[in-house]
Amino acid sequence: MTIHTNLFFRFSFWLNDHLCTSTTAEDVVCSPETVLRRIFADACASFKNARSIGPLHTGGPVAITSDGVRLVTCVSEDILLTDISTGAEICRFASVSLGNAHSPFVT
Amino acid sequence: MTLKKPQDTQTIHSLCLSPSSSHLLVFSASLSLRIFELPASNTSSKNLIYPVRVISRAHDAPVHVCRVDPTSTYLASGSADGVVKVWDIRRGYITHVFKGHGGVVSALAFNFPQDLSSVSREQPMHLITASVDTRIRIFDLSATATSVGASGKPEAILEGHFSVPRGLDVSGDGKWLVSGGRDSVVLVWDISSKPRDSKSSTKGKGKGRVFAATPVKTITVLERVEALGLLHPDEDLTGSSSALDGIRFYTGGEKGVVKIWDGKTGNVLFTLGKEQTTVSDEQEVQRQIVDVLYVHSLAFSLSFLTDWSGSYLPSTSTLVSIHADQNLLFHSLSTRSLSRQLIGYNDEVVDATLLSPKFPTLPQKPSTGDSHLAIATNSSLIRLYDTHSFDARLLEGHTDIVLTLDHGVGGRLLASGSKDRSARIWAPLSQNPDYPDEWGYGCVGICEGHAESVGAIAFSRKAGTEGETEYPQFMFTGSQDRTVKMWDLSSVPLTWKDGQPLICKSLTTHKAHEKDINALDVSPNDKLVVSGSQDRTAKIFAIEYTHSIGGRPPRGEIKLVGTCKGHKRGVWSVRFGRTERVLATGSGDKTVKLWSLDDFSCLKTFEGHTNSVLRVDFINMGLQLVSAASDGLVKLWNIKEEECVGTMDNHEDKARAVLSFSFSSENKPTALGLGTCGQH
Repeated sequence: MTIHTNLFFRFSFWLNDHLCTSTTAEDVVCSPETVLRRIFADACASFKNARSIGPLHTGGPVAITSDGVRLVTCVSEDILLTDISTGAEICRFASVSLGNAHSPFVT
Repeated sequence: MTLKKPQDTQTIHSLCLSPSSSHLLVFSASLSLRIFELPASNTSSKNLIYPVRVISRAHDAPVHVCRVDPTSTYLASGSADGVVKVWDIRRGYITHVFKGHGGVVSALAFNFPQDLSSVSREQPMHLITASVDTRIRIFDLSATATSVGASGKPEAILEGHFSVPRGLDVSGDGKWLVSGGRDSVVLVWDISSKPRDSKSSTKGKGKGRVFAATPVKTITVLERVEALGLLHPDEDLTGSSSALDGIRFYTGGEKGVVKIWDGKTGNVLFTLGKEQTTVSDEQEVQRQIVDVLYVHSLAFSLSFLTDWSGSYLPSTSTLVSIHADQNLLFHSLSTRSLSRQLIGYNDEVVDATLLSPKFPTLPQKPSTGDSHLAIATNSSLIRLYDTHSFDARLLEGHTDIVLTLDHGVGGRLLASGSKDRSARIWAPLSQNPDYPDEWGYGCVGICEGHAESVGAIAFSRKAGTEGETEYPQFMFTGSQDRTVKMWDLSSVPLTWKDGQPLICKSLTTHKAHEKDINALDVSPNDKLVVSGSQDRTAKIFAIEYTHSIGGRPPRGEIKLVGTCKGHKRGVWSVRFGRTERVLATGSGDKTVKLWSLDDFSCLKTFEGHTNSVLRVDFINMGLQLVSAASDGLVKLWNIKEEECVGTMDNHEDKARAVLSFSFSSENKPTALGLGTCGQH
């Protein structure tokens, strides 16, 4: 199976706490116009990417910690450490060699 | 931009974790060995972890197997040129080099019996290797520890396989060696009674003391073995009787299931996973197991159990099978059921819908709404995710790419339309007493009749009620064949049990458009249905539906009441207002339009997207619109002022296109899911 390594697909959950709490008592006191404007101004800023379903494993070796809690997988050339219980990525491991391994400026 | 050396940006060939979970060891195509320390906490960090040590040319050929010894001190690596090296992990130097494997090294195992009753505290450590010359070699690590590469000759060579051995494991007492290979055979060897000075054999090119043992047991596995391991002796396999001195092992291979064997009798004790019978050759290759990982639950601490209560608990021993289709299946050894599935890779997300199933099988989980998410990717398999844990299931049934999804009966039922010209209805699994932990959806209905692919689907928004029980009423499908079909779902069950799906009856077929139908929506009161088409129009139909009364089958009909003309390109998305008599459409002409349902005139046009608008929906009590487009942006529009009040872009990913979105519960938009396609 060929995988387009430069492409990835992701499904993300965006949470918006503002919209569900927008009709509080305080808001009712304001004119509807004011409430609306405030909602609009805050709406986009208050959407936060809460969780994403992204690529986890595109082939290659897989390892699991002996306690069964964490998983190491490869996504093309990246190595991922994942918390199995939540599916959340803990970190990635650098693919650079010794020469620039300790340089924090490699972005 | 990263300035990487070309050889550094290559495939990871092999990696392993130390049993103490302190170190990660990685061999890549650049022939380097990278040693990482694992972070202590499980909290997510955006930081890259840098290696604590890099050995730039660890081997002269790619390393395909590596293993850490039980004490987490030594790493063994086997390369394609037949060289095995043993490394001191913390100090980073080579302790042993063993050459002379007749080709690619295919498996490694440490033998380090930790016999507590033994008087001598210094137990010898052995390394067992297998290579494509089909031979298994045993090296004594303690003998040559001081003289690097001096002797490097195997203490024993075991011959018996006819193809490359892929799995090796030694029992904890160091007595039994189990090897499994692509010759579909597992051999059990007794390596405890090695004659120290057996006669020199001519085998192995006459090098040194060669001990040509014969296996004590040959077990025919009937499939190529890709992974094998011994189960811990204290593993309590409910229902399986095993002698105390018996050994039990697992195998995984081309058939895609994990088998548990009794090493003494050579019988299969049980099988984990479902063997597929009706699949194509290609699918069979996809399902093959490439590796199996064993997590032995050594009575985890109680604090651990309470910390993770309610979530996934590795409190029972687990076998993780890694499949060629990049899926990871977690099998619980005690319940023998699938405890978890992780999907490695999704293709383009084409549609998504949130679900609120009521699983009778999961009483411990509070039945919150929107607990699950169904995604249609570029695949015939629908991916169903638990949104809290990302535990996933694949729904199989369609024979071609699934194009569209919808949910009905309060999010309990899932409907899918596919390129295979059919639509399917899926319902949550009912409780199986044998596998209480299992969850998933099963196909309960099939709708066949369209002449082309089904690209749009919409459930009736309300469920029918008969006393206390709810039942689905009807559903619409829209197809590339330009027709809209209405289906009777009144006898479709709300849970799946074993058995064939119901063949649904079509109530009516209506030739609706001049071109492909892209989208459908049913109004909240179930009185209207709208279709959006590539012919640049959206058409509104009145639904006339009569319940089945007194044995008479239900009847359904749709009548055209209005056409919305004005878009300059095809209509990709249609959505009825929840509170007002309006309709929103998204089009390939980059605009969103709002239409009156009284005279079908265009009330508003929202301009701002730079590419086709693929999805549109109302939020915030119908005061705002959200649109997603192939320009990669999600825009929020104030309907009254006809202006864009916000743009969301996925800064992290630089999405190229937002292909779908799905809101949690109607009218209460607390969560928004975006299916995006981006550039890495």
